[in-house]
Amino acid sequence: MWLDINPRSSIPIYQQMVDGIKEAVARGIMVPGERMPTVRELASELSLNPNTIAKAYQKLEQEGIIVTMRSRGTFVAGRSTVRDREGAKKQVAALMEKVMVEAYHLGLNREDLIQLFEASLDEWEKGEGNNHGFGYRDAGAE
Amino acid sequence: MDLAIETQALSKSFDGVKAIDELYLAVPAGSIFGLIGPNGAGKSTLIQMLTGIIRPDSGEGFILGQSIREKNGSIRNRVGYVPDVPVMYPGFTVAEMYRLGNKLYPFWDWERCRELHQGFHLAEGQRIRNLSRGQKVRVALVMALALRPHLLLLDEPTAGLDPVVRRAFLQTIIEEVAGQGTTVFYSSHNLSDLEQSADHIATLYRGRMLFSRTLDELKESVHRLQLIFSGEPPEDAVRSLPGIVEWQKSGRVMTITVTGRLDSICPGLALLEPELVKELNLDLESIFIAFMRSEGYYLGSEKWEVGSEKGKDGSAKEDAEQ
Repeated sequence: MWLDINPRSSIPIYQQMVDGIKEAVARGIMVPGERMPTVRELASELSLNPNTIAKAYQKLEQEGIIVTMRSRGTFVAGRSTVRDREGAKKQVAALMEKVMVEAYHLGLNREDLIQLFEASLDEWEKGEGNNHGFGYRDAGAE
Repeated sequence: MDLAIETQALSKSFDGVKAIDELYLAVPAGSIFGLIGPNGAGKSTLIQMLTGIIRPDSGEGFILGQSIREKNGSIRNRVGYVPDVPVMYPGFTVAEMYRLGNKLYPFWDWERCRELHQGFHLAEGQRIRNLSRGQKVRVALVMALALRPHLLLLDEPTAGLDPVVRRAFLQTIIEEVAGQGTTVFYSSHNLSDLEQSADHIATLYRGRMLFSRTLDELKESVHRLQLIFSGEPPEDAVRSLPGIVEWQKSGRVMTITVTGRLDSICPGLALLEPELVKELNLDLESIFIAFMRSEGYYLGSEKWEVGSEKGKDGSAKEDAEQ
């Protein structure tokens, strides 16, 4: 698997896996319905602790990123519809705050930030193999 | 939770010196449990007590549900042991050692034995006395796995192995755990091996348990932060932060290592009004060294200062709550 795990990082390995797989799904590297390797396969491939991988799969399942079908295996779930929209907004706002702290110390202003945000939105939406445009998702959710 | 190993107030002294001092340990079944600690901390003594090679002075211990004092050693048919220096008959060939294993262990699996033997590039006709340490360790691991263990006790198995053999060794252990659900308890000084393969970490120091946690909890509960102040850092206030393990001051910058979750540490930090707080990477080796320093174990010239009384109380309390 293409997952890039650094065991020596302060970020626990299961968290790195969760982040990596979420990103791969968001970028369309992994598509809904795709079969995930089994815990055993992945443990052996990445030389990582199987219990850690099982924990990452559990978190991903709780977050609705993957689904396990009894006796058939684990698969990438279809696009999630946001159940807790307010909670999701809070989560993203917390991430944005980090960006703003960094930007403040680097001396960027409000206009710079807005410009950057719009540019990366555009970049994201025209990304290759990426059919997860935000406009489309909004229309679906409302 | 099923426990593969459990000890209660286990103690052992040699010539009046306590090697293991009222040790409480719980190893969940199916885990890869890493035991770390400085030289002479009691790691080998503990493992040898678990195997039944040496007997405890007091306290109790259980492996796979059976007391380690039990004279009937039937449970040991399911325990694979790789000592730091494998003891094998020097005049035996590798094949003869395997035949001995087959006679001693009722669940011996020849297919598994052959498969591992080939994977490790060993020669059946070689005599034990002509093997290198690395080769002996591999023969010992082949035997420990061929007996179809439910528990593997490994005493610094990767010490002195070259990187290729070490990787193959870890890979084999990981596959065993993933495939068979075997519990692995191993001591090592190679913390990056443990960081990759273990899910639980326990630290032994002077025969006592300093901490025993999952690796994830450990990483989430120890942080190294860099605090940058606009003027002279409020050193006294920083040193008395709850859970502080060590600190270092360099001009307007203080670098600290603290225990506790980040969200509970941050409010206290904010009161000191640092201009910038940055989390630095902290690997298992640095975590281990920080804890050892705070226990007063260090060598050479150290530029870190450690543990105010308040800080120590904080970390000890936190450990007790775990």
